[in-house]
Amino acid sequence: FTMAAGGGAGNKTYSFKVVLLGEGCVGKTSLVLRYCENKFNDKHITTLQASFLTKKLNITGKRVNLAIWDTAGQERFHALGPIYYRDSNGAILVYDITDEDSFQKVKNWVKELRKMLGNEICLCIVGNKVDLEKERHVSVEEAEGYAESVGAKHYHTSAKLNKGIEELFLDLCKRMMETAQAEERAKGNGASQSTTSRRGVQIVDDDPQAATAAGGCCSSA
Amino acid sequence: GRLNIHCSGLGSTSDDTEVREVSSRPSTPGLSVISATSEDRGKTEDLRSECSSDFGGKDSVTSPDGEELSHGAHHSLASPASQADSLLAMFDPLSSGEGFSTGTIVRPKVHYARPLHPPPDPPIPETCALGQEPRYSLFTPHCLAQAELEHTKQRHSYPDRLVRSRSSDIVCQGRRPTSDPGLNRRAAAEERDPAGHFSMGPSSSPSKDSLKGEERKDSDEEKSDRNRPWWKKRFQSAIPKAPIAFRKRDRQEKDDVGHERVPQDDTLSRNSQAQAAEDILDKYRNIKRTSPSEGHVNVLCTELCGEEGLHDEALQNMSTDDLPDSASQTAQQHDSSKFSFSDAKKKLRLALCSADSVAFPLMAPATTRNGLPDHTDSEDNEIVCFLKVQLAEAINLQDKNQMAQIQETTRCVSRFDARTCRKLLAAIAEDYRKRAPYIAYLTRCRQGLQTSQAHLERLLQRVLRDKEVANRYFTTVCVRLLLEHMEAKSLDFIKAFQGCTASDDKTAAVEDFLRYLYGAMAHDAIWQYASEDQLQDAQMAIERSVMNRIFKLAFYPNQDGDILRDQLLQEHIARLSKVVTANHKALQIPEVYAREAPWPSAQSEIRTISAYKTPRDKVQCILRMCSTIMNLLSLANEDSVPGADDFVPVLVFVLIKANPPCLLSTIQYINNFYASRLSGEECYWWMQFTAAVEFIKTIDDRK
Repeated sequence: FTMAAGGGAGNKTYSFKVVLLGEGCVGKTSLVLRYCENKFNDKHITTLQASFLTKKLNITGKRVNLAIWDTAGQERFHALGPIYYRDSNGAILVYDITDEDSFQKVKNWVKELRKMLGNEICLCIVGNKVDLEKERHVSVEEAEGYAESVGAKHYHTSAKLNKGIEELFLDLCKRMMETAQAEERAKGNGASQSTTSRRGVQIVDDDPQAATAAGGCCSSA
Repeated sequence: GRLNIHCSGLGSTSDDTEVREVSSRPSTPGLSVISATSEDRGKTEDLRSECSSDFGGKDSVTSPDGEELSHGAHHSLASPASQADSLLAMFDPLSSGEGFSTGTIVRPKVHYARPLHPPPDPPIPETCALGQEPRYSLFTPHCLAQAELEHTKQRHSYPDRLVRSRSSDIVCQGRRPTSDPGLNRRAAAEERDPAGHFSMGPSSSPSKDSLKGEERKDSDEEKSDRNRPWWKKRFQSAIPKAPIAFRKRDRQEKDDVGHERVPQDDTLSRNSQAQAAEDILDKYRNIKRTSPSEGHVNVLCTELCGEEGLHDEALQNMSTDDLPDSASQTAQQHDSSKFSFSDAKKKLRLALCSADSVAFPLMAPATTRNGLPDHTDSEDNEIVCFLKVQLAEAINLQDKNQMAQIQETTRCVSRFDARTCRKLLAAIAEDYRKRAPYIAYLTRCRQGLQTSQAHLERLLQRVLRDKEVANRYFTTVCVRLLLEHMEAKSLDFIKAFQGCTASDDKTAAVEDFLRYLYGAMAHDAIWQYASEDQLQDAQMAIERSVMNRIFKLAFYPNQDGDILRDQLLQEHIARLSKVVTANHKALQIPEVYAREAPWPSAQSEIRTISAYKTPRDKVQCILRMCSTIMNLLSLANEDSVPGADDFVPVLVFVLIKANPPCLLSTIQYINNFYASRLSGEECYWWMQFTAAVEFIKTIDDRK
């Protein structure tokens, strides 16, 4: 099973690549560790690394293999982005609700992803650390409004409290399955149409309106 | 005369010493001291026959006991009193051990075979010698106690016990372990050795009598008066000196000097014991004469009665319905009460051993202090209260077996008065304590076994690894043979490959040829019975061979252009490595990880990449470097699991410092010939590697 092949119909196992993007210190690693190992700052974690984790799911009778790719979030590695998110089925864009800059970073990622991958990729914008609600610097309305405007879904999570994480991944998987099924149907109809559209470069304006017009596939899920 | 103690183990007799030679002490006709030597096994038959001839078969003792028994016998038997005691002691376990102790039999046996753990049981004989009191309290109980202890051994409670035992109970403890195994094996011994079985009846009966005498203060018999002070004195005097004797004995045991040590250890007690021993022996002989032919069931009964007789007159008031039909004709009312005491003890111990030992300490005070108001009528004693709690739990868990057991135990115990109950508890506690050394010994054995097991597992790993390497090599040789037959085809392929210009064509050509070779292998005679793993190894070997032959062409498709490009990057990295440190602004490796810089093991992994010719092997090399880095990072920071944020800067640093040659060509090569086969985790680390190389290209090499 290759990562990129989004899957197919029937009993076939879906294999999805999900890339974790976001500034350093927003809790990408904690998020994925909490999801895959149900651990948070645990001294007894058996996992030696949280860069590449996999999770097997069964969603409405269909098996899903989720490969979660962690990426370096430091600004100086931003240029490596295209290598990271190439062939991804989904992207989880994490920001820290107490850190306005990290949300700005997410916006940059969204722009880039939409530009490079179009609507093929399911975007999740995740406001992490909701346990620090008192120190919130990114308003809920702003974040959710932005997510909707770019055809992404917004989630509030806390790796520390294990809040919202399960829902986030489950939802993402369902959306990726829908996208994969749609792609499958498209393939059935018009041969290699989907591949060209995927590789094609879309010009996305900075204006959220344009992005909304372009998006829609993901937000509908 | 000699006493032959025949030990038969259950199923494990063959590896242990079964027979101890008993050397008789001059002063005691007919009694003998056991010297335990493993070489004696061969003499078993001789000794047995010897014994039977000496005593008309009646004196030979068949004991289930194994080595331990012999150890014990060593010392103590030198003195007449001790001889008698030990003999009696041997019988006791037999009688009580039947039925319930068999479950635990096997374990001690196993341990003994280990050279690492010299039998810890030497103390046993001495304790036997020390007094009858330890004997009865210990032996009958410990069948039960054994099960209980085995059970509790794994829990936290027992170390506690161990400590206690060391300080005060050493003398008695020693014996305990020894006798247990014997108990277990008893049944087997009896079946195997009819002669021994036969003789048991007589031997055990004396003990009963003497014990009875002790117990009954008011009894008219002189014996009882004599006996009581005797054992008491002995027991007490023995305690202080016990540790020394214990140690001494231990040492001696190692030297295997059975007979010599006896005098030393037992001198103190011998005098006082001598008289009593004589009495006991007299009894023993008398009874033997009268009831030599009684079956072992009979023996069991009398034995039990004898032992338990010590406990109280009060018991005599109890009902006799517990007395088995097979009880000896000599068994009287008081005998039955004693039996019921031991029977109750046995059942209570079973109940205890299945009780939750963690909740146990909480339970007892609760019952006594607050009571269980609903259940605590005046007739209920502490034990019954406890049993009711247990019963409630068993009912709750619907453990029918347990329910029946507890109900029966309750029935037995509820007939006792408070005093008897206290005695019952005291007897059980005593048993429990005295078994501590045995438990300690078992623990040590288990530790030893686990160490051995770990060692064996490691050895197995090594062997398996060797096997793997050997198999691989064998496969490689077979592949070479295969390819030799296809030399012409290979040459054709190389020529065709040289002709290719587009990288797609080259990839396709290699894939086609490999597929062709795999197919040829599948049809080759020598590969018909190859396993899946072997076929996979063979495919890798084929790929290596093929890629080796076209390596230059495949690795440098543009020849000088590629080589030049690699050199440029290498020079760039060489310049970088002079200026780049862990806290370089392009890396900013956190302090917590930077302490481990420069990760030499990861560097040495990646430096070997040129040695690998196939793209698969190169990717594996890169993977090893990445996992080395990850392992080092997770070692460095215990507080969190390293993620990509931590990993990427370090990877970049390692690549800069290691500066492996031909980086760009390597990436191109793998992309051309392996990209389609990359999957899962391999894919991720490969991505990180290429990203890091890309990043290195962008780092400014000026200071």
